[in-house]
Amino acid sequence: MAEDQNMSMDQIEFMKRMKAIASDLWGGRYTEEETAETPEPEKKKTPQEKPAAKSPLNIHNLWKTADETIDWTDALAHGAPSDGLTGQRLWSFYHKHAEQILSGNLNAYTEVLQKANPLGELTDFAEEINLRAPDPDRIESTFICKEDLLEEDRKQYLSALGLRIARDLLACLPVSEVAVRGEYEGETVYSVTFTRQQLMHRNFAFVDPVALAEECGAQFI
Amino acid sequence: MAEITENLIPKWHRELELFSGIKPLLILEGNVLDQYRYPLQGSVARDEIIPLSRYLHTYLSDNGYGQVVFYSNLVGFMSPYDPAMLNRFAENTGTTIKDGAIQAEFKGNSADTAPNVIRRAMFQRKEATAIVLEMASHYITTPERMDQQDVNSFNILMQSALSSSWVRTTQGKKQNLLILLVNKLNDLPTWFYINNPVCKILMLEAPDREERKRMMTGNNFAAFFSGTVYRRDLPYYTEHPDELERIKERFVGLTEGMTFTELDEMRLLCKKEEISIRDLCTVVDLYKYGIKENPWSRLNMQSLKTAKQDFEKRIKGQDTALERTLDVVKRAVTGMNGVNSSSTGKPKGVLFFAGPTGTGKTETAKALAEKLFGDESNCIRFDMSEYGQSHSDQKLMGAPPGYVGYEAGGQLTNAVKKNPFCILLFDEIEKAHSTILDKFLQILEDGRMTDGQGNTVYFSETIIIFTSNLGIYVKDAFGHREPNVTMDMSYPEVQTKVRSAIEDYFKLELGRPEILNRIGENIVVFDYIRREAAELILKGQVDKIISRLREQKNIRIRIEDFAYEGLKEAAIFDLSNGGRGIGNQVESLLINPLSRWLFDNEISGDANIVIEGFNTSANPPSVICRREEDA
Repeated sequence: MAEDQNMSMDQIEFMKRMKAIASDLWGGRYTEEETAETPEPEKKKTPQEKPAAKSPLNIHNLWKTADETIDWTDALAHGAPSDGLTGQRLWSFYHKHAEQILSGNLNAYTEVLQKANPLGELTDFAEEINLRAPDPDRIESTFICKEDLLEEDRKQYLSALGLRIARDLLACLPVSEVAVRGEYEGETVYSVTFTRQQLMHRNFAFVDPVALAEECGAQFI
Repeated sequence: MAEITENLIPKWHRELELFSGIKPLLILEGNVLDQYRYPLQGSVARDEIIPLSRYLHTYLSDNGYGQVVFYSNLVGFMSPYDPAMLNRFAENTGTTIKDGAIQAEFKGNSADTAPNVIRRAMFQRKEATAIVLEMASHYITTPERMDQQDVNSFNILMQSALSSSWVRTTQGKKQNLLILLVNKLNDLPTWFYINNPVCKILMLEAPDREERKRMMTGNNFAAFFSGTVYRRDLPYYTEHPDELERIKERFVGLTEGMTFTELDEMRLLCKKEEISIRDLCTVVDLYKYGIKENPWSRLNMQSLKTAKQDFEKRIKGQDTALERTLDVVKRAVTGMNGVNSSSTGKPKGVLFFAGPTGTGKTETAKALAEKLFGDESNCIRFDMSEYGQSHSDQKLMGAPPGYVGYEAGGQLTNAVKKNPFCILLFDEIEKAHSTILDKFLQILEDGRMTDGQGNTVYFSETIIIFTSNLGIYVKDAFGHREPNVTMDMSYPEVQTKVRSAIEDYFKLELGRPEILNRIGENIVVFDYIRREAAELILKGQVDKIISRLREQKNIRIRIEDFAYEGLKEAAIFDLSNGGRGIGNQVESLLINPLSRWLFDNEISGDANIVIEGFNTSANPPSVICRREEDA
């Protein structure tokens, strides 16, 4: 709860509410009753079969993973999960919002962003992350930098977080670009616009986030 | 796209509905590995595209069958979509489940072979049962070589169907049902289904036009695109619905003969590559040919404008023929071609070159290949005199499985598979066997051909050129060959007579007017090589020899004017063999004597030679030359 001490009561309340909504929507993704396919019979796991422990996120691996892309057109076409992987409840949420999302309704964008909370995993990496959708093709995100991370490795931190924010938002909504701005002590320290085209077909496990950000025109101030 | 049937139910599904309460043995033949659109509202959403096994499970369980079980000889009995069904099945047949399946061999002597388990299931009356035998084509090696145990197994299956029980369900009485999924009916012993009164065969075919249209309607269409593309493009097409309809129509036309699985894979490819609605049809090429740069799309209009002049450098004296050839190409490029691929997947163009020998027919095809595809090796030539036997179609399209040469595939299908963007030149088409003409009919009509190995080859990016000497000679009343056209006739007269003779050949002699119809107005008659053109051809050939000698050996040749006149008179004296005849004369009058002279005078390079005369009447002909000192 150390981080909670720096937050106002309203912020804490908001975060709790977001976590509850996200857990309701996303936390149940892997539960048995929501899997579309019939589960395999329970097998005794050998030590080799145990899933590899997920390494904790840090500024040296943050951009390597991202949320799964929501297939809004499939969600529009089908009432039930077409991929056989997504839970029914989550799919129904997509299905309900697909038409509005695909017609570029900004209120629907806001609702999905609030409920899906695509950046929920990144709260440890920024004091605050704000989102804005000025038009249906673009999302703007501003994050307030964490001092310790900024001091640890400035360029790496800004690039890693910026890239991850862009990846998560492009996965969540059918926008073409995400503008990311980093702020520290009221000043802009980083700004870049990532387009979907630039990030398509990349293997992020082998991407240098600083080089990629620079390639996409990032300004480190 | 306007007339979409509201509730489109394919024929085979209607037959399934019809006969599943009447015939206890159904054989589903054909496209059994494909996915299918589920046409009803049920346990899966209407219009969802699902594997055949899930389709059958859904339909049968929604219609009162409490046990829908699938059997494969590799795994045994399973119920992948509802494991509880397998538990009941095991209980009702006295079998046990191990690792999620009831293991049972297809043949053998035990009481628990698959046919015996099926017999027990078909006899019982506790639960309406449907058993689907998947991959039933592979239970035996061939129907001709069945051992007694194979025969017994099929015999038990047949008896099970013959005495299948009726079961009372909440949805009325149901007869236990046995369904076999086979690729080809003749994978099963004929006695199993012929004269079998309880057996009904249903044919599963690739989705027809209506089915494919269905995929393009409503929200199904959206699922072809990534969210970003669809959101971005939708407002425009909402304003311009006619344009959208045209794109859909074209896509439906281009995907003729494709399976649901292929259509669904194209849908995923479209999403993955973020293909826009406007470019939807490009996914068909991408899917068919992979990443191959389509030369048609980068064809430069400007370069086509100068094509005639470029062609004239290679082909002399064929103004009208070149003009007509280029017209077909221009129609293809501008999408105005009635036989192009834009709406139907037919070849980009079809040309029938007729005319006397040596007039530039093959050369025109090569020049066209170079112009269109950058290299004349993209003109793939087939000498049809090699395909005169009745079995020649196998050489061209590939032998069927089990025949010699099956592995090699067909010469034509292999060539097009390797290079789908090419000109196919079928030389002397009249010499091909008539079975080959049937194959060509299919290519011209559908733009595709399935080879002996079952691979579909697409001809939609090719130009097909047939050449023929038809109409140059005809047979008189006594069967003697006599000239139909002569050099002293004008080109319009030659053209009319040759065209008329070709029409007579296809309509009267061959009795195949439909072939002529596919070629349409694309018969291009090449004129005789006349004196003016012959002079140009001769000059071109002599210049080429001179420049080659200069480049390769540094031997500079100069022909005195009066000597050249002598060569010209001898070389173009007889033009009955066209340009090829001039080439032969050049070889005989210039190349051979000059080589001899160079050899005799021990000149292998670095020399200036003047040809002062040709002794064309000598045998063999000779040249009168002198060596000039270097300037």
